[in-house]
Amino acid sequence: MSLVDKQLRYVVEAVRDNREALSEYIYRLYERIERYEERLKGFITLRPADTVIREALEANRLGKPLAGIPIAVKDNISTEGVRTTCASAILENYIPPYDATVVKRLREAGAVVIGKTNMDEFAMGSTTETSHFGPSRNPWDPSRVPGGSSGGSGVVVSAYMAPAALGSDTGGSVRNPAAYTGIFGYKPTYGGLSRYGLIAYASSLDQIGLMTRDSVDAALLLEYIAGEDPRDPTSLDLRVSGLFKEISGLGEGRDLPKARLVIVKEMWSGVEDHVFRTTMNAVEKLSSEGFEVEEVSVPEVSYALPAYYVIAFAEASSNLSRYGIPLYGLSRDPENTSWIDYYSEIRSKGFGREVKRRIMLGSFILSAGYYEQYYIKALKVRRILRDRLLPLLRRGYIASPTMPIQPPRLGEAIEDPLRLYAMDIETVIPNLIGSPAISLVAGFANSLPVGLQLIGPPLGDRDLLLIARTIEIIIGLSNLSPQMG
Amino acid sequence: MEVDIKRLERLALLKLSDEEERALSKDIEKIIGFFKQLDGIVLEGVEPLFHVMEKEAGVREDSVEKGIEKAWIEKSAAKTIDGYVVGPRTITGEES
Repeated sequence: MSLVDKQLRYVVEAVRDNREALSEYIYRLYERIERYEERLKGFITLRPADTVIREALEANRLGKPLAGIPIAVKDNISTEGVRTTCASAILENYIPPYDATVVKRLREAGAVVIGKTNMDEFAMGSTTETSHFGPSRNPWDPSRVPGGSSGGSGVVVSAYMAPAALGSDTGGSVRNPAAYTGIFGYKPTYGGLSRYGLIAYASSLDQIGLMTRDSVDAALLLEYIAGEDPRDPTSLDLRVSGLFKEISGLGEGRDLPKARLVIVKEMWSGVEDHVFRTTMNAVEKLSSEGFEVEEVSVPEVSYALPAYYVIAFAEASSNLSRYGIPLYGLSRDPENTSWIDYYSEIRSKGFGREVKRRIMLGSFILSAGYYEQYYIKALKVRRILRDRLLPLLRRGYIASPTMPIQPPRLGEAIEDPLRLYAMDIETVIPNLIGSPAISLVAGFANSLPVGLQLIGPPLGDRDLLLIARTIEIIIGLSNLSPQMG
Repeated sequence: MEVDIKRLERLALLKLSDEEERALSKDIEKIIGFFKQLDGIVLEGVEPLFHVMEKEAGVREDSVEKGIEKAWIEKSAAKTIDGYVVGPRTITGEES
């Protein structure tokens, strides 16, 4: 097995104080990229190999803990001096003057940004097909989508074009592509990672997350990027120091920790047959290995999807009102144009159809006469969901399929917005209540990976990752290689 | 139907083509129909939850910190005059 096929932690070990091995490793990554990128389109911006190698060798020479390892970053996370487009024409030439806190912390720990990954425009989508730069494709079957909105991050990790990637998750955008591309996806507790420098979509739901080859790699990176940030007042201390050591030691002779899995019946209804069976088989296997399984009914869960979309659109219409400003992004000489004409022209040119749809709906929801009818109602549903689900999360982890269907073929879901939104039915729940959640590979159906989602209590990230590792060991399906020919 | 597409365009600061107006009106009506599912749940006496974090926002130390460089702004803006960013006119129409 070549180093390129290994998990990030082994690469870090192998290249530490070995700059020759590090350059060799990065060359190999670029070889992969050259071979597969044209077909899969994981990146929007790929940095030149010599720049990445130079920065990597410098980090390595300085003895930084991540030793110069390259990491891919979703294109809605700001990178100083590296174009950050949000996959939108309106930011096509935007070069941020600062790093997002997570990027800054990665760089300080000795990681290097290899490139910016493809996504749905402004993270609005579940398939990466709304990208202004064209869709990404699933390494397991290029006729299918890799999921979204962090689809490019899923593609590059799955196809070994980068050992790990940052994504963002507003209603499943890390877990959905992780499930579809057969990797590990982790959305922390709301506030667990600083959002400073993450270009906002729906601020009360947005979280940066990690996409890696398994949970141990996620724990390793998490230790470097977690922690409160004065620039994001919603940031929290996840208390994860020492987690990497603890999680790495699991499965080495000692008994694995066990937990209770809570099956919320409503989250399993409407799930495609083979997805249901594959995920349920995994739950049964865990049960036979000593996990307790409890079934409950929470009828209010059926209201999560419309509540989520109302809240997300309302917040999006407010967040995206900043675009069109003649200070950055798509703009032109504003002289001799009225304010309304200027903004309307730039925004109409710069936003794609899904973004227009969402900000118009958001404007509608927040407009006089409809605010109470939709927005306030959705926020009340959010409280009910939190009040119903948090007690369950004190007893165990809510387990469900990550996605209700297998990855659609390109063009199959995108034409019907309601069909597209329905893909998020499982993943929006943790965002609404602020919980951490992960997706890992439960098994295969039709030669495609199927994801199992596990939701934990807010601030229970440490234990959630330890249980995820236990499940990975029991199921035995991590660090998978798609056959790409 | 309650959707006035022109009004939404004004609110969202968009100007759509006729084709876009037709397609988006149809989608928007359909999506609002989906939102009406929320009418099916009893919400009496429930307080809205705007944000999961009920943590108070603090105020940082009143000290000078490095911000965005003026040079970046001058480079990035569509047009500047004497270091000021030129914006569109906010007041138009006949002078009175």
